[in-house]
Amino acid sequence: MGEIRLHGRGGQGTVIAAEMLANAFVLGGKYASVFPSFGVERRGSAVMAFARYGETPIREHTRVYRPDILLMLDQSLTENPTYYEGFRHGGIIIANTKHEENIAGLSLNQKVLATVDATRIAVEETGSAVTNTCMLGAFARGTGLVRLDDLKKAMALYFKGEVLAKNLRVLERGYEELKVTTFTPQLAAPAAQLAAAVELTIAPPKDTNPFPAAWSDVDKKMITVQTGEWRFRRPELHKASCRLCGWCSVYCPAGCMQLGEDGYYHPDLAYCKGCGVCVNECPAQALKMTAEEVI
Amino acid sequence: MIKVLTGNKAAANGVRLARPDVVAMYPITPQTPLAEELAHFHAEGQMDCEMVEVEGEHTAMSTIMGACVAGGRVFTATSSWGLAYMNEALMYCAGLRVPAVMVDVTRETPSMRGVGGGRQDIMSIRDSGWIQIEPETCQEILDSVLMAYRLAEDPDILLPVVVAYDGFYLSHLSERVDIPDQADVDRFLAPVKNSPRPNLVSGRNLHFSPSIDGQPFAEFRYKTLQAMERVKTKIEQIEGEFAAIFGRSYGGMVDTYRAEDAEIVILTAGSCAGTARVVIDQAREDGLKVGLARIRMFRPFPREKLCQVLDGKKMVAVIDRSICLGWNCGHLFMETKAVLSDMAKPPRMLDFIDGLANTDITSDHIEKALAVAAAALKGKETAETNWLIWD
Ligand code: SF4
Ligand code: SF4
Repeated sequence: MGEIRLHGRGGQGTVIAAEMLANAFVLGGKYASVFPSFGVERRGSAVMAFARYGETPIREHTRVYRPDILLMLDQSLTENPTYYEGFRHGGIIIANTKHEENIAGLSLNQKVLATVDATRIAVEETGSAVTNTCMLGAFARGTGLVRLDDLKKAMALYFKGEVLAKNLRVLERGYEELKVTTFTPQLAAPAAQLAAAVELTIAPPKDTNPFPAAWSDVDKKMITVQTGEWRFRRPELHKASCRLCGWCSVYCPAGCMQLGEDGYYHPDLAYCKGCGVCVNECPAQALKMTAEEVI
Repeated sequence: MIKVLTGNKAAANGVRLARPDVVAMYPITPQTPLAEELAHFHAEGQMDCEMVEVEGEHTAMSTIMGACVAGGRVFTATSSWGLAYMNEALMYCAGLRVPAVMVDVTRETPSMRGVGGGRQDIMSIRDSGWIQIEPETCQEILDSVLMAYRLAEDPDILLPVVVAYDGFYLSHLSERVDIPDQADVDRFLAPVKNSPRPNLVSGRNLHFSPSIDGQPFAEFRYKTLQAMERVKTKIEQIEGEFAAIFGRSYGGMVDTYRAEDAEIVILTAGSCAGTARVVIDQAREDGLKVGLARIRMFRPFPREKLCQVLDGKKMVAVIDRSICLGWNCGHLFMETKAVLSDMAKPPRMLDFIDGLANTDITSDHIEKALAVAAAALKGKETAETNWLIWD
């Protein structure tokens, strides 16, 4: 049994990619299972999907913590070490990036590092930066675990007509344009015997619960979700057009459009999720959505 | 036909193959994809039924109850607060012995804002008179829906059945599922119109409510209790027939794995049993005599079967995904503990709470539970109820 973890952003089709992959494994006569990470993920936020494959039925119903294979769909995630957590030494990394050397520099002890500029391919072929099908093509070539033909059949379960045709081309280019580099990894020591040999009792909880009661002090103990992490575009103000009506701050669903010291309304970027509601509601067209440079 | 399906889609396929007459649902996370898939089947003409759009779960249950007493085969599905909202109607349904079938995609109910998986919701109806089946895999979800109709509509039973499977960890898990042929399903599950159960028909005065008191009411309850007991043998018989047609079975009320010669038994229910199997295989390689008892049917509770499985074992490590407030433990622990007094040589028991509010019951957690159980057997002192959620 092998374990795969997919990393992408909401809206890039990470979960569908995982499902298509499971279908391709099953079409190839193998067993596979897949499930997404669940939570407050929205378009733009970092998401994961977990996949397993094998010759016998997959019994585990738990997330993947020690992946043999990492499939990185989003370039902006590839240089952050946290997304490689638990990666097994000697495993395979397939990543959407132009900068292979930056991943190689993370000392992950991989056997194979395979990269492709999936964003460019996806934009060239489909006009959008949805990289999932490109990365499936890359997966087929980089791992040799699924046949390109089975992936095509799996894709036909999800897409039709022109969308399918374009994505088949993206899939093939992911396969063809993948750059594969092999390494001689330092293998980790074998895992310790099951902890059952160890005498153990369970520790009491750490006192981190923010809710001893529902009315506890939110300023001190409330867990906040930094919705700004979801943003891949932001509102920008053209001061000359602004009438200072405050409409944007009324409509902002995050309540983060606030009057600044300069007397104009600005989003608090820790919470602005880039939804564009303010832009839509501004009666003076003083706000415009612009792409984020780096996330 | 082999397909890759989520638990929700597997359930929808089971419902489609059962050919219900009336389906009424209100969407709620994590049940929504099931409602969507059924609406999709209906829109495509793959289901010849009334699909009733309701304004809430109370109406969903009331609708299918009415349709069922009029002789129909019915279905609804819900989760968490939806289950809570339909509570009045579902009590009524079970109280009247209406053979409805429902899916509950389990989820925490008393959480402050989350939509996390957990089994707290379904525990709130455990004594309502609903038969309760708890699958481990997507295939078992589909198969259990089919068996649920046979069980509910059996003239010896006539009780509603809920198939309750783990929110997210099964509802959103995709795996290989063998979708049975309609012809085979039709052989297993005959059209409901041939059922000998009493139905409301025009031209005949039937009273649709036991608004009676005293002895007649008590007698009705007595008979309901007896019907619930009969489920224990009926499920074996129905599963035998199912296996003869489809080649799959799930161990009746309690599914066991490597339990025969085990000293320590991990007892749990639902999706995490699969992970436990993997841990058990590993522990066996390390020389630990461990096995699994998976409660597949929670209502009626498998008292007799559990006695057979657990009698003479040294330790039972229970993994619970819900908490029994007032007993300082989870529900599986509390109910299994009640069975100990039926045994000649009862084992010791420890409880491990895990998987609340969408936390993951990982193999590391199950290993840890096993380690604590092994240490306790060697005389090390440990709490009776342990929480695995924090590391
Ligand atoms: S884009 Fe505008 S409306 Fe949306 S969160 Fe940011 S400031 Fe608020
Ligand atoms: S809604 Fe537009 S015009 Fe009004 S304050 Fe906001 S940016 Fe200015």
